Amino acid sequence: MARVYDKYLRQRITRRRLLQASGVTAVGAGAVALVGCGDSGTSTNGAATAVDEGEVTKNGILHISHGAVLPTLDTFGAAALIPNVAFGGSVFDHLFYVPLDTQKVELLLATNVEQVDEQGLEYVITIQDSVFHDKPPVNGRPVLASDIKATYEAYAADDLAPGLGWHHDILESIDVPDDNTVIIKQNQPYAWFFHPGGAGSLGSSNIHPVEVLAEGYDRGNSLIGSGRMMLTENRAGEFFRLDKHPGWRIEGEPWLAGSTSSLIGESAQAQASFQAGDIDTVGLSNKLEADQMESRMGDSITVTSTFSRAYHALMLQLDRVPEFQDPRNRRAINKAINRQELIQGIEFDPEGGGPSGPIPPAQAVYALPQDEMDEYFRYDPEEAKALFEETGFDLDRTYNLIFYILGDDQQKRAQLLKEQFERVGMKVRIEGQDLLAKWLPQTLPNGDYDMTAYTQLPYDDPHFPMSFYTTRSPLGDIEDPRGRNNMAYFNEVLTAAIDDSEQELDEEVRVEKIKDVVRMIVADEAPMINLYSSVSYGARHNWYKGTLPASRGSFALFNGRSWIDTNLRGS
Amino acid sequence: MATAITLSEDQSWTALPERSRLKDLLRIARRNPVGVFGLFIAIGFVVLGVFGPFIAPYDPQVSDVENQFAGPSWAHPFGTDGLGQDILSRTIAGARISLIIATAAVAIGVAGGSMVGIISGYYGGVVDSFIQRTGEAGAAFPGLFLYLMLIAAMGQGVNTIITGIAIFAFIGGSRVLRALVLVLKQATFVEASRSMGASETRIVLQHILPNVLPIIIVVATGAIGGAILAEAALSFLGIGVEPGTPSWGIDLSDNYSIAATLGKWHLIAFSGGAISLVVLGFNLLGDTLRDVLDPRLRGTIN
Amino acid sequence: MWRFIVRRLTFIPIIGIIISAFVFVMLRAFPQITGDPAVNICGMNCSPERLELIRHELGLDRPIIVQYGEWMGDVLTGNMGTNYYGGLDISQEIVRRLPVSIEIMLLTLVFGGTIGITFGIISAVMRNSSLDYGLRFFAVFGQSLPDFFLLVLLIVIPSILWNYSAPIGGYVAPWDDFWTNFRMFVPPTLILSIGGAAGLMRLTRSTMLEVLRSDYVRTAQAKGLHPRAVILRHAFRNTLAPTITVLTFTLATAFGGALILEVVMGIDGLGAFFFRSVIQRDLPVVQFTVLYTAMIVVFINLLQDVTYAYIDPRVRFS
Repeated sequence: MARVYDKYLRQRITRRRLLQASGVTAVGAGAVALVGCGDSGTSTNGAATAVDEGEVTKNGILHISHGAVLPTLDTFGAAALIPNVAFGGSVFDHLFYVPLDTQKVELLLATNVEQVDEQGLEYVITIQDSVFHDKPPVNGRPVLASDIKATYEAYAADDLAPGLGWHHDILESIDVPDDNTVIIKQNQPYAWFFHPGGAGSLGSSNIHPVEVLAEGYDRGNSLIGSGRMMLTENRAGEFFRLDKHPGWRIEGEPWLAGSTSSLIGESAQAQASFQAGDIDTVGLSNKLEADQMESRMGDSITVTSTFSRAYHALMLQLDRVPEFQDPRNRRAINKAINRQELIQGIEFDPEGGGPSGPIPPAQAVYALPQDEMDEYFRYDPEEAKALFEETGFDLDRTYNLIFYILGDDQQKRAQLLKEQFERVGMKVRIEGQDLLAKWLPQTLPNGDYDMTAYTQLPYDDPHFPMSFYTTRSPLGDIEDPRGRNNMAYFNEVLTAAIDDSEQELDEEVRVEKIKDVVRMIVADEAPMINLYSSVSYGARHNWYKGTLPASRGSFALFNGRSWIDTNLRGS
Repeated sequence: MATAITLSEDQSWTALPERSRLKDLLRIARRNPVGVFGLFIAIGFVVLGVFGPFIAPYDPQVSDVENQFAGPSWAHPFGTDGLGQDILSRTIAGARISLIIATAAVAIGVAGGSMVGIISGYYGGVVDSFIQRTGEAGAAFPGLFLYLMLIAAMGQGVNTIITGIAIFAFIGGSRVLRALVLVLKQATFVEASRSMGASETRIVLQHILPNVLPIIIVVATGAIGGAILAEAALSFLGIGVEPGTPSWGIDLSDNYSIAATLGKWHLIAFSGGAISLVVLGFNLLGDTLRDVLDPRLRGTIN
Repeated sequence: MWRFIVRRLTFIPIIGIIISAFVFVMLRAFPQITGDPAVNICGMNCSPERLELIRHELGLDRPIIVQYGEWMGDVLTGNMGTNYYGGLDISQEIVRRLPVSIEIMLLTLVFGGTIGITFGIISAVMRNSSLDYGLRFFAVFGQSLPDFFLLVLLIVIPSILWNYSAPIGGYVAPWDDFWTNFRMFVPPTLILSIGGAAGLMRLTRSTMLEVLRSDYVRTAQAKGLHPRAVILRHAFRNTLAPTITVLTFTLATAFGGALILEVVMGIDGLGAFFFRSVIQRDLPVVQFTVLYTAMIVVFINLLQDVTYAYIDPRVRFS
C-alpha cells in the first residue's frame, strides 16, 4: 500500500491552479486592480544564491512553464498586465527599478537621475547606450530618449490597462532635449516616483521603440524591446522561446543563452515535468506539496518559499453598523479573529502563511516589526466578549459577511471567520456574490455590506495598502461629501499623516513616517482588518544556479547572472 | 422517435381498474428488479434530501481545523475534509441542494413544457408553428453553452442553474408531448367523443390529459437524473452553487487536488460515488417506467 | 425532395433571429444584472470620466437597439471585431483554436458512433447472451457516470499505476507528431464518448430487435438468406434513421463535453476559450460563440432532416 501511495504522490493533480489560472485572467483585466491573484504568474521561483559554485558554464537554456495561455503580447489595453509582467524583466529594459526585497532604487538604463527641485516635481534622467533587438522595423537601432518619451506617453494614453494611475494622474510631461536626456515633470510631489506604482514599474515602464507604438502596428503578435533577452518564437501563447540579445548593454551577459516557457495548465503535469527535469523551476500550491517534492527529490532540488504580496483582509462598514464607529467594537472583532486557525484551515500548515498588519509582511521594509504587532494579532475571544458587553454591542442582530466567488478559498475564509465571530456571541450570515456582476461593481463601491472578506492585490509598495485608510480611499462612493472611503471610515488625522508620508522623498524618513502611520492605524483599530498573507512555494533544480529571482518583485529578475550547470543537467 | 409513440384507450395505463392496477404494479415490479433498485435509490435520495439535516451526525458546514483530513473512523465514518468538516454529513447534506434544484427546475420546466406541448400539438396552426421554431431555437443551444451564457447574463447561483435546467426540461417536455398529442388527436376514442359533440376543452381534459400523464412522469423522471448531473457538473466547474455549500460537485472539485497530494481517497470517493449512484438510480427508474408505460417498447427489453 | 429542403431552409433565418435576439437581450439589455464591463475593466480608482471614456471605447454608450443592429451586421458579415480583454481579433482567436475542438468532437463522435452502433448490433443479435447482458450493463453505467468524474479518474489512475501523464506544451497537430497528438486526445475523447456510445448502443439494440422481428426480415430469413446478409443488408439500413437522430444529438452535446474536457485537462481549445470569456464577462466573445454554435447545431439538424428524407421517403410528405 505504501508503495502505491508513494507512486500516487509522485504525480498529482491540482485543480486549484487551474481555477486560479482562469481566475487570474478573469480579474486580470480590470478587476486586477483590486482582487488578489497570487504571485505565481510565470513561475520563476528560486532563492537568491551567490555565485560560488565553481566555474560558470554559460549558454545553457532555462526551461520554465506558464499556467495559462498568454492571450496577447500587446503590452497595452485591457489584457496588458500579463504580457507586461511576463516579459517586463527579460525582453524589456527600464530606466530604473525598486526591487521588493531591498526597496532601494536600482538604476538600469538610466545612469544618472537628477532631482531638480526640492519637492521632486522634475527629474532629469541621463540614459546610457543601448540597442533594440534586431527585428524589423527597428533592426537593432540605438535606444533614444524619444523612445522613452513615446513609451510613457503611450502608457498615459492607454485607458484600458490597469495600474496606470501615475501615468494618468501624476505625470505632467516628458521632454527630450537630446538623444540621451529625458526630463520627467510631475504635477504633484510623489514619493513613489521610482517605484512600480510610479515611473519604474515592471509593467508600465517597458521601453518600446517608437515604431511599435505607431498606429496599425500589430503588437499582439510581436515583442520588440531592448532587454537582455529577445523573443524568437511564440506558438499561440502556448510556447515561448527567448534568446540572448547579442547587443545587450552589459558585456558578457546574460549568462543564459536563452529560455523556453511551455504552457502547462495542470499543476500536476508541471510537477511531473519538473521531476523529469524537463523544466527547471516549478510553482507549488502549498506547504504539503512542497514537503512532498522535497521528500521525493531530496538534495537535487531546492524548495523555496516567499511571502506572497497579496494579503487577505476583512472590512467593516461603519454606516451600516454604527456600533463599528466605536474603536472598542472594532478591537473586539480583531480579538475574535484567530489568524493561526485561518492559516491552518486554508493553507493546511502553520507555515503556509503569516499574519498581516496594515502593511503586508512581503513589504518587510515598511511593516512594523513582529514584536510590535504581537498585541494586534493576539487572539483573545474573552476580551472580545468583554468589550462587546462593555459597549452593549447588539448581539441579537444577524450581521452579513460577504465574500466574492472565485475558487473556494474565499468561501473557506468567510466560513472560518463566521465561526470565530459566533464563538464570541455574534450572529453571522455569510453570503457569496458573483465577483464581476455584483461584488466589484456594486457591493464594494456602495459599501453595501456589514462585513466583507476578500483578498488584496499583490502591491509593490505601501501606497495602496495605506490609501485604503484615507478619506480618499479609491474604493469609495464618489458622491459622499466626507470623501470616498467605502467603509465610511473618515479619519482626518490619519489621512494627513498618510499624505505627508507620500510626499516624503527621503527614503529613511519615509520608512519611519509609514511605520508611524501603521501605529496610528493599529491604535485606532481601523476597520480594514488585515488577516494574513499566504506563503508561495516553489522548487528549482540545483543545476539552476546564480543570482536567481526570489519573487516577482525581486531585483534578480533583471540580472543576467543566472545560469544552468550543464555538467549537472546535461545538454 | 417520439412520433412513433402510439397509445390506444385499452392500452392506457390509467384506464385500468383499481385492483388490477395494483396487481399489475406488483407484477411489473417482479419483472423489473432493476427498476425497483432504481426506485429505491430515488426514494433514498429524496429521503436524504428532505430529512438529511436530521440524519447527519454533524453540521456539514462547521469546521474543526484540528481534525483536518482525518481518515475514516467511528467518529467520522467517511473522514473529514480540509476544514475538518464531516464528509458523511456533507455527503448526506449534498442530496438536499441536488433535490431542490432538480425538482424545482424539472417541475417548472416539465409542467410548463407539457402544457405548451399539448396546446401546440392539439390546436396546431400558427401557434404551433411559432412554438416549434422557438423550440428548435432553444434546442440548438448545446446544454453547457446555454448555462454558461446564463451565467454571463445573470451571474452564478442557484437561480441560474434552475433557469437553465428548466429551459431544457421545458423544450424536451413540449416536444415529446406535442408529438404524442398529434397521434392521440387522431385516435379512435378521441374521434368518437368528438363526433358525439364533446367540446375541445373537454376532450383535452378527459381524454388527452389522462393519457399523456404517464409520459409526463417518464419525461420528468429522466429529466431529474439529467438535472442532478447538470448541477454537479456546473458546481464541479466552479460555476454552480455557491462555494462551501454541501454539494457533491463542489466537494469533488474542492478536494480532488489535495486528495491526490495526500493520497487520501476518502476525500473524493463519496461525493463522486454519490453523483454516479443517484444518476444511475434515476436512469434505471426512468428506463423502467418508459418500458412499462410505453407499450410500443413493452416486451422488447424483457 | 428539393421542395422539402427549401422549406426547411426558410426556417433558418427565423430561428436565427429568435436566437440572436435572445442572446443579445440576455447579455446586453440589463447591465445592472450582468455587470457593466466598463466597471470591470476600470476597476477601482476609477473616475467617472475614465469610466465614460471606456464605455465610449467599447461602444456601450450607444442606444441598445443600435448596438443590436450593429451586432447583427457584424454577425452577417462575419466581422467579429475584438474582445474586451486584450483587444484581440475574435475570429483569429477562434480560428486558431478550431483544430483542437474539431479534433476532440470528431474523435468523440467517431468513437461514440463506432462503439455504440457495433455494440448495439452485437447486443441485439446475441440477445440474452451473457455478452448482451454485459454490454447492457456497460450502457446503463455509461449513461450515468458523470464525464467530469471519469476525466478526473483518467488523470489520477494512470498516474498511480504507471506514473503516466499526458504530454505538455500546447496543441500538436496529428500530422506533425502523431504519437503526441494521440496521447493527448485519444484517451480523454474515449472517456468522453462513453455517454453517447451508451445511448446509441441502447437505441441501436432496441431498433434492431424490432426490425429483426418485422415481417420482411422474417421473410428474408425464410427465403434462406445468410443471417449476416439479413442483418447488414436489410435490418441495419432500417435502424439508420433513429441512429442518426441520436448521433446528431450526440454532436450537440459534444460541444459541452469538449468544453469540460478542455477545462479539466488544461487544453486550450474553443471550449476553454469560451469558458474563460464567460468568467471574465468578455461579452463579444460570449455572444458570437453562443450564436454561431447554436446556428451550427441548427444546420446539423437540417442535415439530419434531409438525411431522414433521403433514407425514409415518407418523411418528405409529413
